[in-house]
Amino acid sequence: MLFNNNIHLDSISSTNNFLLSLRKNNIFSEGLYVTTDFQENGKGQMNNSWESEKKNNLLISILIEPKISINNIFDINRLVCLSIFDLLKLYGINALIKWPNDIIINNRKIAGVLIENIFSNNIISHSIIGIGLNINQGKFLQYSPPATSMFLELINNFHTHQIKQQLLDIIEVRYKKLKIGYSDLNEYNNKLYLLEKSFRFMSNNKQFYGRIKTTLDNGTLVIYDESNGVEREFLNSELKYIF
Amino acid sequence: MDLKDIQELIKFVAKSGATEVDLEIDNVKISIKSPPKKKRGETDETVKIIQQIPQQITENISPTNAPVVEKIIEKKEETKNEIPVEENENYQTIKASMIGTFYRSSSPENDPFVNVGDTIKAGDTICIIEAMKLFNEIDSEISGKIIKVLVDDATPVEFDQPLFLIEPN
Repeated sequence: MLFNNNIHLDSISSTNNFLLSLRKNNIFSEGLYVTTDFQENGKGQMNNSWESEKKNNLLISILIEPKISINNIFDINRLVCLSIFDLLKLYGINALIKWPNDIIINNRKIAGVLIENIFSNNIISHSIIGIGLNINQGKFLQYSPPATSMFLELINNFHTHQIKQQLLDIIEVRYKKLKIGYSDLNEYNNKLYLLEKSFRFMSNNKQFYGRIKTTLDNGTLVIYDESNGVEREFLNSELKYIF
Repeated sequence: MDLKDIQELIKFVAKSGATEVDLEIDNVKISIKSPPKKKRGETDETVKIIQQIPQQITENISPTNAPVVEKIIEKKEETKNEIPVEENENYQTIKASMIGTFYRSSSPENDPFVNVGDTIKAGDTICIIEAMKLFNEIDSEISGKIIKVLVDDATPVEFDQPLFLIEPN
């Protein structure tokens, strides 16, 4: 097993930040992961907060040392999103991946991924993979898009510990495949949320209707802009979904 | 993982605000509990080790009075430096290794990683470039003093765009 070393905290502001703070400690090496029962002000993206009830969800940050080129920076994100997809599939849930880093069921968000990379000479030496997966939480307040959980989808409670172990196993298998050159790009593209559906987006403060066509190997999202019939590529996060 | 690493770890945990910690390292399990944290500034919390820990560790743990490292700003050097900064041939730039959004701190409420006047070492994190929600810590490859930050916080940067002007030492 790759993920052998665990630090579990009853409460922490961010498992990603905690893991990062261990950077100078000998324990900071591939296979370490940090979990918590409760994330005080969990970081979604730069500003979005992550709302989680104590012990009801999986909040985990995993450390790997991929040693891959900066050009393959999106590989880890794809791997992790597909791993969460696989996990939910085990429970009979059909999820979709909202580019670049959310997992969606019926227009509701069930999980989010936040990855922080450390580079050395254009090689990714360390990736800190933060995952929040809603498991037993039954109520969500302020969310856009709205949130859901495994409990809300299946009306059943689950052992977070068991789900954590299953997810780690799936990630390990996919990680090994990545290391021997397996490409999961097609898998990822087939599971894109809003694929080929007309939807409202915003870029550089301008709204437009478009259809997601695919993503490229480096993570670039390709959208067909319905207003002018042009395919546009988005690599940076200047793209917003307008719900 | 030796005792020193575990001690270090316990210090980190004490600083983090967590009150219960379970470690599982190389098949050794350790549980740590500490009383709820007092108000900021009070550092009299104790860390109790309740399981499977050799005695000598508990003796060595002191409350985490992490030394406060004050930034040393060499004002003299800043004022005598009257030539326009860009013109000094000794200066080097740190460039963006990727396209993305440039951030000077790890989150909006945190202080910037570095400021003008700071002395940095190779390997120090100086900024974050975010692309596709991947947050990439950019470490300096050179040691020296920050002369200028060339890009505004939270703005897009291109590949190879200069980010910082550094006076190497």
